[in-house]
Amino acid sequence: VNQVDAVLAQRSHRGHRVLFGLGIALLMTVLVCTALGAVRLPIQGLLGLDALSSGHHTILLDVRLPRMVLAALVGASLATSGCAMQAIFRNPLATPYVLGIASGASVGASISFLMGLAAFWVPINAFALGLGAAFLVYGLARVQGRVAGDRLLLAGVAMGLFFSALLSVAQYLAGERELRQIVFWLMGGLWNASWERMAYGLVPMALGVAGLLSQARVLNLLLLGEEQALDAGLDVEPTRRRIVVFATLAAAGAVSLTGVIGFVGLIVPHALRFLTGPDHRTLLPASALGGAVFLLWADLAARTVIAPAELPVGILTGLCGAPFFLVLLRLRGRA
Amino acid sequence: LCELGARDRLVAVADSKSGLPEAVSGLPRVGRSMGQPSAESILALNPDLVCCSASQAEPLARAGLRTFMVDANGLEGVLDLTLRLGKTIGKAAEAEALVAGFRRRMQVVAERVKGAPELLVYFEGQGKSRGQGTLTHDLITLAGGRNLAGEQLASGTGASYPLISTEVLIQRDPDIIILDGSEGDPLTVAKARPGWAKLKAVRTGRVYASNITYTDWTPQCIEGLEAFARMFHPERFT
Repeated sequence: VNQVDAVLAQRSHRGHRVLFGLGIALLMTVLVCTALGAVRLPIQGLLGLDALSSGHHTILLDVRLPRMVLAALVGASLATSGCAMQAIFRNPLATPYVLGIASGASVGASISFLMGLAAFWVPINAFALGLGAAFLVYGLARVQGRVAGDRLLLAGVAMGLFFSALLSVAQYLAGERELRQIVFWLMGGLWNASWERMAYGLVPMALGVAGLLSQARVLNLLLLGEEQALDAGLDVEPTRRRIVVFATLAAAGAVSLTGVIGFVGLIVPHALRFLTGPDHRTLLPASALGGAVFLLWADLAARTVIAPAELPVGILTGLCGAPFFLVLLRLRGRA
Repeated sequence: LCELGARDRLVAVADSKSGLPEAVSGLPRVGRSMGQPSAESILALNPDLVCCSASQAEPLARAGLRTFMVDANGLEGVLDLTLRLGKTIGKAAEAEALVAGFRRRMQVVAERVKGAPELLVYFEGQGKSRGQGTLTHDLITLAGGRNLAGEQLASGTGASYPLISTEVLIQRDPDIIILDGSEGDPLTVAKARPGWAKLKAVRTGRVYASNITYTDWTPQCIEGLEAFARMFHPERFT
């Protein structure tokens, strides 16, 4: 452990600078996102120099701010969760949804729409089935008390496909109204953010992210491989289980409130790994900050580019995130 | 078909999640209105004509069935569809009489709401509003309302089903809100939305539910037109 820490210490100075830079970026992002939106709010009012009209007051406090907080929380959760999943699977393609959370949650939401349940049931059912799918995968991949990474990954893919098929059943059985609701939910969006609704996902997201941040050193060890981790005196099995639980809580909490927002959990950790290197003591908090910044900008675009209408943010994360990542990949290759 | 006096010629209907009209309640049901119906089951009934959506027609036509596509755009589209259907089933005169009746009812509504103050109306179904070119937009406009989504997007994206920003909704502050497919009491649903409690329509209790048959490309849209006009201008219908 000491050797590993010694090697990583050399990088930590750079890591601190990256974290500091991301902190500043988040601050600037929050200022820009508060000032801009589908409706232009008077700058004197925003600065507190002048009273805001009642309508503008509602727009700022009941619409724009809860939406920004949700974007930051969801972005941070997905990116941190994705970063941890990539580490424990030692697979660059791993995402927060790798254990079938997204398709499980989608089935949960679709069932709520098909049954015509009240709106507050949608995040609850999505969360329950997302979590259920992940734990089912974990349980099925566990043979004789051991969970091999490859087996877990394959079980996750298979379960994801199973739930996708269930989702297709739900879509096929749906009437025109329910079908529109399901498709809309699948695109992923932050338009129905509110302080009350946020309460549903806040606890799992906060718990998951905080839990993952506390596991940074352990993730560094797991990244070296199972044998080295065992040599370093790490009890691999329960550690991995703990990390999977945290990553799952963060991802399921996020998905339950917003639908499926892709690419954040895949791209943000990779982009930051280019900057900080693989030390999770820097990479995990950097992913949390970077995920928040990324999703805040993506949602700013979602709510302004075609104003007075808006786009589902999930479309934009893919549309902007994927090319950005491909450019990064090429630059990295050249370096 | 029922309103054209062809109820006795119907052999079966597709099942629908949003419920079937009373007039066809006793008929056998084959497949569902959404998705692709089984051509074999329909062939077994040996119908002369299958009325279906454009997306369903092709495989049925290939199976040797004669199809009639029931897709329509806007209120004029529904009236035109009625006329074409009448011609196709040999009830052209009935269809013309039916459409003439519709036009008279539209005329009555137009006279009633003429000169009334134009109210700003926001319509929402499954999270999205209805822009220009949709039947809903026509109904709102003819009933003496100004459709917020139609107006806002006139020069914009041209989206027929836009997701209107809540910020814009609060800024424009519509006089009337119509929710389609809302669960339970529309006013309660509206009050629970973030930032909606202070909207003029919510404060004055002018949040209404729309019946799906009003905006669903059926002749009942004329009932919808009358219902909307009564919603907007109750003082003119006493």
